[in-house]
Amino acid sequence: MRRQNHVFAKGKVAHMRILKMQSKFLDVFLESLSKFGNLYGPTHKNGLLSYNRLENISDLVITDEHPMIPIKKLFHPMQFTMMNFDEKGFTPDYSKIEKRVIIGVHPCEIHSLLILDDIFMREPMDPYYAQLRQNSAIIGFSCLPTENSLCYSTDTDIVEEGFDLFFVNLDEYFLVWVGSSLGHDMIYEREEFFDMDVSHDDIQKYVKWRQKKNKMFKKSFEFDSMPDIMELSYDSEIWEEFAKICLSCGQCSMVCPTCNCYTVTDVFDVTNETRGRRDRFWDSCMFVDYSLVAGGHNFRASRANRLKLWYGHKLKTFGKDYGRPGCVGCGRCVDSCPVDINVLTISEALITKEVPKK
Amino acid sequence: MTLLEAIENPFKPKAARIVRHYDLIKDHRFFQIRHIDMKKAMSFSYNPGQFIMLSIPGVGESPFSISSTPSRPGILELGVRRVGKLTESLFQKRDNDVVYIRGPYGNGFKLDKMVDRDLIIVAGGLGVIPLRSILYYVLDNRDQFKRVFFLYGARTPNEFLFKTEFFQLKNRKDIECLYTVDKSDAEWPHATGVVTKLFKNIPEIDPRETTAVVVGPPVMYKFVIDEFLKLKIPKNQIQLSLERRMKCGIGKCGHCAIEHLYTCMDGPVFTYWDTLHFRELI
Amino acid sequence: MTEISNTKLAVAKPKVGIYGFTGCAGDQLLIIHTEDEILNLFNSVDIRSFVMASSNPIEEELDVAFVEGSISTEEEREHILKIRKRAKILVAIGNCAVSGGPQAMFTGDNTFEKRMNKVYGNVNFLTAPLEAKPIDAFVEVDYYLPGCPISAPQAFALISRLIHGAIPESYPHPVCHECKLNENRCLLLDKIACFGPLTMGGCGSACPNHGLPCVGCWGPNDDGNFEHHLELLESFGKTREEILRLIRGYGGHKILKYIEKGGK
Ligand SMILES: Cc1cc2nc3c(=O)[nH]c(=O)nc-3n(C[C@H](O)[C@H](O)[C@H](O)COP(=O)(O)OP(=O)(O)OC[C@H]3O[C@@H](n4cnc5c(N)ncnc54)[C@H](O)[C@@H]3O)c2cc1C
Ligand code: SF4
Ligand code: SF4
Ligand code: SF4
Ligand code: SF4
Ligand code: FES
Repeated sequence: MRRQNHVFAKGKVAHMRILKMQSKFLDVFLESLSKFGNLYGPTHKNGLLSYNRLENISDLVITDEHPMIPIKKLFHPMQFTMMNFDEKGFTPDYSKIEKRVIIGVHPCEIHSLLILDDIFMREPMDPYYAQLRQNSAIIGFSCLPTENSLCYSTDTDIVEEGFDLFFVNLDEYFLVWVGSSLGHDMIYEREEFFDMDVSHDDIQKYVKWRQKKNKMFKKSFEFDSMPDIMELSYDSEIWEEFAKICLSCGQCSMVCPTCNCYTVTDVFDVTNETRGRRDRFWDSCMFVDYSLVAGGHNFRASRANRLKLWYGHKLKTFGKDYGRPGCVGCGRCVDSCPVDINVLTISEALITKEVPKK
Repeated sequence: MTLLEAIENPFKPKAARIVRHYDLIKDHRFFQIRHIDMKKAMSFSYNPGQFIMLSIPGVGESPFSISSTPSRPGILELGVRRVGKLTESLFQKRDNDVVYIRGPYGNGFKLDKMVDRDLIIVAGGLGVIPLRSILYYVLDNRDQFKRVFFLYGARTPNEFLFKTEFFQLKNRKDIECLYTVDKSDAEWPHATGVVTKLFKNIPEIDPRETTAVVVGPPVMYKFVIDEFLKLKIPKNQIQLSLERRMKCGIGKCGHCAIEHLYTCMDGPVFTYWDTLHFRELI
Repeated sequence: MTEISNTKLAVAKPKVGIYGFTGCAGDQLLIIHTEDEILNLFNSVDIRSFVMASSNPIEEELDVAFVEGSISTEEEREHILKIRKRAKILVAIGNCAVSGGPQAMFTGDNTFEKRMNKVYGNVNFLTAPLEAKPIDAFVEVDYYLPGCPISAPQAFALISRLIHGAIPESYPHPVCHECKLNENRCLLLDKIACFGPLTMGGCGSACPNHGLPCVGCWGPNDDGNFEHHLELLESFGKTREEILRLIRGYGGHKILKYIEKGGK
């Protein structure tokens, strides 16, 4: 039942085809994809990796590192105008929607989109997310673990769906998985680059690559037992310990690829007329006003309760009809939290009942 | 992009006119509104306990419980307390002014669990606004329910909402209405004390054949539920409605999260049994 | 927050006055004149008093008074009291009006200084204290537009709501929120003393956008974890004195009050 309204379902090919492409063709091939939409991918911006529109294919940076702000920003934009209004009412603004080809998407990022689909594509669909999703092709790329990668623990190190093409880098060539009929069309355009016969040796090489990759993870945590541990630890004093140091800066929600929360605000134009816009932008349950209701009653005034909700979503359950917690092991909370509150320290503390020392 | 037109934008609110409004008590106002599109007005169906999102362009959007009953279609009734930005602007509106609404949202009360049973409705403060919907629904379909008890407590006589309406209801024979205020004055004709004190007036019931509903301020739930439990009403036959901050009403913005549930979709009505599984309670 | 009960500002052009006290010349709104909106603004309101244009500024009832600068003379004090009486809504704009600004850097209402000494040891004051105080030291302020200069989007969002008789929306999140939306790397990770988490957002994370730490000029974020933030900055090798001086240097004395209270 999972993800039955998934955008890729329509074009899904029953048996995934695997092809081979020599590395020297990569840039030319990727460039040719502009026929299918504007190209997007990780670029360097002020010295940081960031998903952006690619002016040139040479701007594309394919590395093992993840951009600090995850791929959700291309589907659930950080800040945008949902609707404009005037005295006649509200008019949706779909100006952000365009055909896109997003290149260089790592497995955990693809997993994060599948999780966000469960929220935003659940009826009634979010028309902004749904249309951005429907108009975007995903060109996945394999990566090797970096310092804080946890996807092996969260079982999100490989993907079987959610992409149109997926490139696994085996040095002199790529193995290319074709995940949708659109992906098939892309290959068909530049057939000359692809070798249809994947040999036993190639598969052997791929298996070796997987084994090498699996050994490279420096960090891991008890993801599978966390739902139970979380349940049992609801009243643990560990939460208070973390609450003492949490700065409530909200960075964790901004960088976590499966935080979906947003807030909405209306802005009038500076005129006497009824004219303006309704904007939406990312929010976080770490901010104090998040759960505030009329009368100043706040269901989550304490930092400890805010942390419990956050980690409940990441390590226990997220969304209703499926059991998977939201963490896809990207390691961004480990990279980003200035006081080292993250899935590693939280899970460790809940198991050992001690707050890890810096 | 053909899809753009094909998808109906669930965030786009529809124009509705304020047909009538009057003050219930200080800072609490009653509104009757109707979709300007008459077809929409007549086809807008909902369950008691559901809510709408009401927009005033440029000011924002907020959830409000529907206080009218679906058994009287066409007009939606709201009871609004003035507390902040949106409600302040709503209080500046006059009859015939236009507001924007979308919905209905949420699950509403579980009517199928009430049919052919005795029904105990307990309201505290503003909680009477959504309960008024079920109250009139029940009275409009009186033969579907067995005995009906309506208990309502306010802090003072001046904070008692829908006074005229509810006092008149007392004359009806097919419903037992019990009212109380925490602090009474000389003119107050009914009981004094907290709402749980009214329970002693409830005659013997068969708990398995009874459904209980409670809506009120967070502090009230525990005490009222204790009374229900004393009456031995099963936990899954006690329904309550929870309030959370809401920005979207349709399970996207995350604000109303209770653990992994979204109050706007999976609630706001839960059974007491459901809530026992929540670690973050009421 | 004051209610704007039943004042339908949108009906007529709201009457607006703009006043400048010490530190500012009533030009904050003009500083942002490059924006298109400023033209609309002047069409949408009826500017009754503009301190630079009129020699006798307060002569009638106002819907909104924008007040800039800090109060540092007895004459100014009387003037602000008069403005408050005549204005339905009073908005403090710019850092000087909101927090006292650089003039208030070492404001010694002596008791405060003493309390500071008690709590944080002997802090050396570089110059003799001046009597420069923010507007809200004398009258009630309905809304604040902090910053030097103020942020144009924030100013227009507030002003346009006032024009329509609606209550403005505050920005209830720390600077870090905008900082992340601008895709900056957090300076705290590099052990740079940034005050973003303690500071109310709305500035668009202007300083971190340029690799500079937030110095708190937008005023306190009352949910800030003041206690632990100070400990964190100390762990970067800063003394408490240095940290406090940094905050004070930029009109952050409202933040200091929170620190003194130990946060919330
Ligand atoms: C399902 C549901 C049904 C509801 N039904 C009704 C109903 O029938 N009638 C009714 O009157 N209300 C109802 N409410 C509550 C109603 O939605 C709120 O009162 C309304 O959203 C307030 O909006 P506002 O813009 O006027 O207030 P806001 O300006 O948003 O402020 C509301 C209150 O929250 C506090 N607050 C908000 N933001 C901050 C902040 N940043 N810092 C400090 N405090 C803050 C203030 O104390 C203020 O009093 C319902 C809510 C829900 C979820
Ligand atoms: S957990 Fe870390 S990143 Fe998240 S709000 Fe707290 S201090 Fe900020
Ligand atoms: S963890 Fe918090 S911010 Fe993230 S999705 Fe859950 S409620 Fe939203
Ligand atoms: S919880 Fe941390 S590791 Fe898991 S997906 Fe979010 S940011 Fe990545
Ligand atoms: S650099 Fe400063 S403002 Fe930006 S996230 Fe870090 S602490 Fe917050
Ligand atoms: S109100 Fe947005 S998810 Fe419930």
